Amino acid sequence: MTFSDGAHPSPTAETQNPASGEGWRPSRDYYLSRHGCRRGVIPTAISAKVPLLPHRRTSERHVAVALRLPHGASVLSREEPLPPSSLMPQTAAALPVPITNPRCRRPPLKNRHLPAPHPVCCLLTPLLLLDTADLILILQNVSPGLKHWKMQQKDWLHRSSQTSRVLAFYGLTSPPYKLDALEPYMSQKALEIHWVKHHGDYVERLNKQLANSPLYGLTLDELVKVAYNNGNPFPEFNNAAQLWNHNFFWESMQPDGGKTPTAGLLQQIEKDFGSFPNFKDEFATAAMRLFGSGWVWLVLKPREKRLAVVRTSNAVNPLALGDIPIINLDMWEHAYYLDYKV
Amino acid sequence: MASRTLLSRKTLGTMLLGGAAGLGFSRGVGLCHLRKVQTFSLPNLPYDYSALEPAISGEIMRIHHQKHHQAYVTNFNKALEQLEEAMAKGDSSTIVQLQSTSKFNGGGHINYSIFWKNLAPVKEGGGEPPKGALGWAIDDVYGSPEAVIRKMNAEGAALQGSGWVWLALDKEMKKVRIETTANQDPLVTKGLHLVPLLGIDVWEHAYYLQYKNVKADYLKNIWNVINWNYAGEVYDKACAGLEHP
Repeated sequence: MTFSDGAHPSPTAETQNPASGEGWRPSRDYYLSRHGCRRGVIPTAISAKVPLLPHRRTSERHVAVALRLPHGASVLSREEPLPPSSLMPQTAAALPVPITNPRCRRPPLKNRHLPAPHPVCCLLTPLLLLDTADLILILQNVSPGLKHWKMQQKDWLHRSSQTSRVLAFYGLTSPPYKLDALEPYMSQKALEIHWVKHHGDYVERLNKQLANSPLYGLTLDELVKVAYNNGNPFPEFNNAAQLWNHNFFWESMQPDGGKTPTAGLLQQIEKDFGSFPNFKDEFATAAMRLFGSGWVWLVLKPREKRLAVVRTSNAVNPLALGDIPIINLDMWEHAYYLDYKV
Repeated sequence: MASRTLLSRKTLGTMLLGGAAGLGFSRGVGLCHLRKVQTFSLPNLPYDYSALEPAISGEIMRIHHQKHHQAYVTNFNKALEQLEEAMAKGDSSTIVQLQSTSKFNGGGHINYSIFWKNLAPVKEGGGEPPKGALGWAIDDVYGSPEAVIRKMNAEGAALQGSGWVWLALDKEMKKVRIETTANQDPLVTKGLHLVPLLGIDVWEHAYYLQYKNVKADYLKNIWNVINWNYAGEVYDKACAGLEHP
């Protein structure tokens, strides 16, 4: 069994050396070093050379690039095929890259400040409170040299504010099967509402939160772990964890599924639960005993080196608790109420 | 339960030493004053299932009452029986373990019993604004009933997972207050001095069949069938209790 967080390829020597040739995959630092102020969006697990958005001057506002990809769309380059063992579904959530380049001489928009005034200028403090345009009007009649300096400042400010900040956000991952593929166990209507409304809502709310959050720029796995904050979660945790949980949930199911696991997983289940039917009973009992909303998981506990069935409340994710999820089950009522009522 | 307070460590110890086998019911006679476990039953709704339409559909009311509330009552009775047995045996770990089941199922029964009375069909006064002492108390703290509605809806929408939103009377402060509780925790878990006046169920099963994921619409429409008159009566009774303890 191989375990990884599946969200970001870990940097290797090969990744960081552009000259290594085959199997080389550019890292985030490579992009930033080569393209300076250019905007780039680097997808997570699946690779490579994504065409970058060209540098262009736009109007003075932030441009959010939400990668809302349609059904089945992917962010693959034409040069690299989809690796068969990839855990990520066809559409990869983009790794948001904060766009700051230390080589840009203009200071970043939010840190912009004017130099501290000379003590003599304190006498002019009331003037500094005026709008730039008003100040210029006054100074036009005072001193031509001062006026020129002010015009330069205004132009600099105007050009600074024209530099747009492009943010990349998480996208809505689609289930790797058609929406009616899980019938009769999960109806198409239930799955569609669950995916589009609930899962989609979490994506939108998380993106809105991250626009002004210090937690922007992490992979989803990192965000879940950091935002959990050892049981005292930040506001972003609920949306991030629910996003992760739902991504995993679609993967935990498949059309014509429900068969017995094979190989190493089966051996480990038999070792830890006695038999596969025993495990199924324990899993179902745990699900029935869950109070309120939550999730049921089959996890691998890495320290104890065994599998276990765990229940979590609301949005809590075993990743944040240090365990490795294998499959999960959504026990929020919205997951089953339309099909099964009670 | 009163019987528990009568059980001191000494009597519990003598019971255990006396041995479980053969003592059975006779233990209860002298020392413990154990009384027969009271079972709870599902209360009837004071209106038809479809009487609250279009705010809450008849299907939801029927499933909510006959399936969910009934399940809580059944499981609460079961938990109480098991608690009774565990207390008779002196099995403290089982007693403690049953606390969470009791809180969940018992809380559900308490909350729903209040909830059915909090709702009324439009022709029986549902949706009419609060009058009298409760109206003044609300104006005093929140300015208007609309402000209370807005605030409760905001709290309900923000609640993550399952739970309830309450308009409560704080007996200590003598003011009304808005509170939320998680899962089926009754309002007293937030403070013994809180008296529930109005409660709104924001578990997903309360609205999903009709409103799907749009909780905001459910919270907006339910106010058309909220029974402020009942809340006013509870408020008056609680205040009377405060003045004449």
